[in-house]
Amino acid sequence: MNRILIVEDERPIADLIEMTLTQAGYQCDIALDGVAAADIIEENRHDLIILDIMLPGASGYELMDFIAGAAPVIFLTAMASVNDRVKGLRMGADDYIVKPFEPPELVARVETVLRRLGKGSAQLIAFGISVDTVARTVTRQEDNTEIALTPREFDLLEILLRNRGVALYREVLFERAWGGEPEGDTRTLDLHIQRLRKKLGWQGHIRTVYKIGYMLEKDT
Amino acid sequence: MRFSIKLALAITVLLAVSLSVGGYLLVRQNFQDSLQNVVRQNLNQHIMEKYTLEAELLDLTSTGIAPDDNQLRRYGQHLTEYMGGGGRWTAFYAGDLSEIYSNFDGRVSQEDRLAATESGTDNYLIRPVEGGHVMLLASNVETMGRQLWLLNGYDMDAVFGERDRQMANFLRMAAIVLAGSAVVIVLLASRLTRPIRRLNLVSRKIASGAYAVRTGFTGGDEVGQLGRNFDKMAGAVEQKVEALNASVHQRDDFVAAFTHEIKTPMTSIIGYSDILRSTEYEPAVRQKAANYIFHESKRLESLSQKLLMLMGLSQEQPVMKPVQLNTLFAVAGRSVVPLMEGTRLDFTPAGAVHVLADMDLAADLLRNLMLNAAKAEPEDEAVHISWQLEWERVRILVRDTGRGIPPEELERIIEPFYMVDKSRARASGGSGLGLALSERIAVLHGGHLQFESQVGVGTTVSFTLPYCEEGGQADDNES
Repeated sequence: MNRILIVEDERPIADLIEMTLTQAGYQCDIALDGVAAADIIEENRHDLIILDIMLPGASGYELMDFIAGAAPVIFLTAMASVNDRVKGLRMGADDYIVKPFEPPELVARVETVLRRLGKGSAQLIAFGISVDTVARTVTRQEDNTEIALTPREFDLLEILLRNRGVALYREVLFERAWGGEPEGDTRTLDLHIQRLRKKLGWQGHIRTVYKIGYMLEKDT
Repeated sequence: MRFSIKLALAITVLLAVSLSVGGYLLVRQNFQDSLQNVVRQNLNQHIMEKYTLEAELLDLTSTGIAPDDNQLRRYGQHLTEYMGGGGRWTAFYAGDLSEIYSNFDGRVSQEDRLAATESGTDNYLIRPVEGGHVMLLASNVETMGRQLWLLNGYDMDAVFGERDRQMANFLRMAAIVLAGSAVVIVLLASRLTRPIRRLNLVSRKIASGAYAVRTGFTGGDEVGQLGRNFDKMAGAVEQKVEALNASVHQRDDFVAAFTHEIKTPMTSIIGYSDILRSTEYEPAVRQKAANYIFHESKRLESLSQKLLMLMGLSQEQPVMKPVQLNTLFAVAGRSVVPLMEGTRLDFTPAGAVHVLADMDLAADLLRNLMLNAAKAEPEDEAVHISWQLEWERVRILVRDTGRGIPPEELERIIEPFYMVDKSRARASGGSGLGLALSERIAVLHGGHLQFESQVGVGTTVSFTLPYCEEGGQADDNES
């Protein structure tokens, strides 16, 4: 499990990031100002740092010098100008996120950075099925055979895997897999879920949650 | 072409023309004078010869017989022998202009000689001949009914030769003088036009952005004045540019801070609502997310309200009316008490003191300062509001015994969105615009916010309002 340090002086946003990343399976620590962050960075226990630029005590840029490559950094900034972004990347940031952002975007960026640095894994495993999110392949582990999925089915599977044990609303599931708001009904979604269950043999694992949507069970 | 070269050229040409004209006139005058002298001399000579001839003829006719041509010829030869050659010629002609005697050589043509006789007695001719000029004079002599012409010719080479020599001398001298003065003029022109070149260089530098460059001229003439005025202008331009840059910088800072202020609640609202709508969380998490969404939305709301007010204040003029200070205290205090969470308000009674103020704005300002003081967590759990007279103004002081403001923060405290303690300010609903607004109101009333603070001891914030002698006085002035 990767440990992530969140350096953000706005409590609501720090909590938001923590909530999002914990849900995605990361362990998080929070530093609310530059000085506290410097102390925690010194211990060097984190695989990734999410760093706000405008900080009391010491600015994010100043902390960059302090981190000096010890851990990958994702800048969190309200300044969307190209100059600001270039400055952050020049100083050694691995990526940046412009406020306001949506939680899935944050998770995706964190995963990408970790994977690029070999710290994260592109493999998601559940109930004997291994999913490679980079190669976009699905493999049954016991006999090492590949299961063919359509792109949409794959997207749905990935979303379910990333939110294991959580009931996802049908509308949101549709929106994230198809992109855009659902037009009228979500029958297509139900159809795809049926096919996924059949292909993977997960009839019991992908549960229909009454009035809400679907949920992938956790391994027991 | 460079200006100094043009100037030098113009002066040199002028000098050359005036020198030539002057020299020519001088030489001509000299020539005229000596010509006149020689002409007079020759005239006298001719008259003398005429008398001599008449005397001779008288002598010859004393016998009663008219002299014949041979006698005249002899006389002529005799005369020539006596007087010698040397540029003088004599000839006798009969009345029909047939030649009796002549010692003219070929230089003077027959026509010229006849022309002299035609012009008559007492007149002379100057004719150019080969290698010089000759003056011709003819006189009519009558003796015993016989007409005779005496013709004299005189060589004028001396006079004309002198003129040519003088002209040549003058030209030589003029050339030397001109060459010398041309050098001096070029140097002088270059020196005189140096300030112009400097001015040119400086203005070019300023045009390319080096606003600090100056000519540094000190002279008292027009060019010096031009330079000084130019420096003044450059100074004004530099100041304006600096002010402009500062205001652009300020605006950039404001926009950056504003962006930050608006994006932070946005991020919370978008993020938490996304969590709420996508997954079925336990009630505690839901409660927390909804709570954040609510508070961050409220924050956006108050931010937009304050911002609108800030913009409105910079456009509208306040309505200034006489207000009793006690009334102002009462109005501001009344609305603030419910928000004070137990902190007391301690007013110094103001009696009948009146101030000139926009009641709503001034109360807003005072309320803001009192709230800030209460947020500083004063030790005696009180906010002290007092006043004092200062010249034509009344100073109102809001004092607390709270945590104080560090000195390095005091300078920036009235900047929009600046917060000394961000998390605490956020927790108590601060937008970072309160003091910026207060300062704007203070400025509208002709003053500024003044801070005195010591960390751990307390803070005093004060502002001034115009003093008003009597309640109704300002109204009288208005009508």
